[in-house]
Amino acid sequence: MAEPRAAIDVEGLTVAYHSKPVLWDVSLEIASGVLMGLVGPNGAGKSTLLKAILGLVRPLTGRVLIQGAPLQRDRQLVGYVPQRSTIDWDFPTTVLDLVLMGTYGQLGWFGRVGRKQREAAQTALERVELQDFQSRQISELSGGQQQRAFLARAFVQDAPILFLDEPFAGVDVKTERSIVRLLHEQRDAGKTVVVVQHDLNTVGEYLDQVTLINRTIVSSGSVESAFTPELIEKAYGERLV
Amino acid sequence: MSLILWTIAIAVVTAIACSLCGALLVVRREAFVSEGLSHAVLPGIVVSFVIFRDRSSFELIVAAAASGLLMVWLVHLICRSGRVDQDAALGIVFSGLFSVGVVLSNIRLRDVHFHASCIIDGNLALAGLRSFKVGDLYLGPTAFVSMSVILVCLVAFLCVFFNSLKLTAFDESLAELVGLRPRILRLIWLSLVSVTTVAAFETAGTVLVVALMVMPPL
Amino acid sequence: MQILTDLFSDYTTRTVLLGSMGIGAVSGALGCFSYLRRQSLIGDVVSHSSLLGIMVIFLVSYWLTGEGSKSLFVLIPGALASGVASLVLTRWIVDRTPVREDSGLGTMLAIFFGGGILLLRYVQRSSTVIPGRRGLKDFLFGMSASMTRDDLIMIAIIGGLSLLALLAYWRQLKVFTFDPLFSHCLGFNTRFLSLLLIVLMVNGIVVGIQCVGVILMIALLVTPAAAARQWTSSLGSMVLLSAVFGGMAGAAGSITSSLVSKLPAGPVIVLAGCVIFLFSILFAPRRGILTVKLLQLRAAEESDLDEGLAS
Repeated sequence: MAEPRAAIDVEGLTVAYHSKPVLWDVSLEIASGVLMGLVGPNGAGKSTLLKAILGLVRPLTGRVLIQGAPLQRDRQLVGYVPQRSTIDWDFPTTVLDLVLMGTYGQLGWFGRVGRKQREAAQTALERVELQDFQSRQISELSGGQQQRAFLARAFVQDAPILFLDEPFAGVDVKTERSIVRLLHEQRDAGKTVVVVQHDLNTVGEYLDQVTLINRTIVSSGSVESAFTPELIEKAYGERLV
Repeated sequence: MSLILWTIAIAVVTAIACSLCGALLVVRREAFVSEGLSHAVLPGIVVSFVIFRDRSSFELIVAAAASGLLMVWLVHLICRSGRVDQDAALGIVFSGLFSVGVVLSNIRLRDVHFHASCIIDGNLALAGLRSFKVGDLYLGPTAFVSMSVILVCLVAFLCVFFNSLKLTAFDESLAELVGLRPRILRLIWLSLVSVTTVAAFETAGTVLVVALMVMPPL
Repeated sequence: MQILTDLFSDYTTRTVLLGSMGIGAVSGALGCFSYLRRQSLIGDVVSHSSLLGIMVIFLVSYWLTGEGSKSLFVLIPGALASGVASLVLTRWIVDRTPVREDSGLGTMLAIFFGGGILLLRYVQRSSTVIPGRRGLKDFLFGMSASMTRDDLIMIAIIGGLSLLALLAYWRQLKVFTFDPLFSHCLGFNTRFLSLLLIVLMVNGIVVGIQCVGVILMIALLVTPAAAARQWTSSLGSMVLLSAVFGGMAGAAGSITSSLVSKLPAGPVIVLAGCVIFLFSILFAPRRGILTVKLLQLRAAEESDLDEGLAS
């Protein structure tokens, strides 16, 4: 068996908007099968890094490899759970409909949503305990339920790498714990999970590894080594000055 | 003063008033409110014209401002219900009000030379011709006088409320907390914008009003 | 009743009625996506901007042939081009300068529509009479009454193609509209989808201009969609319902204006749309403002009753 490749490999990435650098010379390697937190203050470039990894913003320099190859070739390697506040909850769709969206990538041109897709969606809904809510309009769910519905969609998509943007923002403690449990299950099944977060309190408890970021990488590694008070102050303090 | 100078003066005053309005609209990301207002004032103009038969009366400006405010109020009502977002509500309301204006003008004003397209492009060259007199004292063209009055009102309003407006534009809930009345402020502000819009029609026309409002602050 | 049967037997009226209904339905269906992407006002910019393209094509055809053409077959490409150009220029400005999108759009609207009006006035007032210039200003407020069979065919072609594209890319467009980043992750070409949605919106607009004119076009795009949104919780039925509402408004407008001599069809169509919207936002099941109020009242009464029984 070949040496395990890094799930995500970012090399010398610089991204700028209107000639203002948002990310400066970012190099980062995320190994397969870990639960990684991408932590930094607001405006530190977390979502820009996410977009760059997904190939949505063009970097000035540097490159991103997903499982050893540029992303363009096979995009379906990455799953994504959006930040709850960026979603238009008034969009006319039901929970089941939302989860079924996860199958659209595999359906191809004339494929129809059939029994196989429905069963996959049902299983995912049961895993996040939303099977009783499947015909609800998404705006009628609580914050935690909404987050879990999106998680179910990502499970259906079944990509080896999963990104979550602020999954714990605005959900209750109970949901937070159940989401963490589901993410641990994913990791144990060999998936790579990256959680973007700016809340510091729960990092040590929930995550295996942490990358501290503020325009550039401050530290990256296990929680014990990369998430020390000095490093946190370095990442968060600079912006206060 | 010669006609040409008066015409230039009118243009300058109009442009200043419009860009003052625009500055705040652009800061609040409400550039389209001026576009909406420029359509929504039509029913007011038509109604007052039907009643008073005078194309540059004081009543006309008031009526137009009132229908502009009607638009703002309706948009606010629809948005508050949470069923439709602000852009869409604005689109629905201003096109509806404009239609009311066009239908009214077609029913009641076919006999006179007044068509909705009159207000689309104003006529700066003619604006200098109508003179404004108090007794025998010639004060300049009507358009110049009315625009100047509006400009003075705008400047006064902005001077007095500049800080509160800035705060409201920046953070509405904070403004409410510190005891300002953002909604009343906004109401006054938007009526001033409607009045400016209407008054500027005569010289600049609807589209150019939007241009004059939105472009300079960029 | 006699009036109505007369109405439908008349060839011109039938053409107009059919055209207005078709236009309403196509614009209504295509408008749903701009509505859901919160881009309603972009439609306003595009429709105003298309006037410039229409006028440029008209003048070019005058210089080439000696008579200005008002055939939709030549004017629509011009409208399409200038509508898209205004959006592309806005994008360009917003990406390269600190100007924000709404201001950029407002500026483009002023430039393109202002340019269009300028040319329109030039054509109308120039001392050499330009053949074909009569009726040109109807592009401002619509001219469904003068619709011909050729126009109907053009509308059917554009509308049909747009609806076909909508069906072919249905799932991709749905995910992209709802959650663009996720559609990217599914491997969909988001650049293409975003362009497709713009083209579809512009199609809906140039088709509708014939009916209600560039100034009121936004109403055909937004109002049916906003009304339809109140009744349903699935995208498919929303698009269908929006098409039905648009068609109803088109029919109501053209019938009313052919019965009442002084009424122009365009604004009446818009007003019919407003009535449908008003009814929907007040009385739609589950979402209607009054329906919800009524349900709350009834629930309160019942709980009062229960308490009364308990005590």
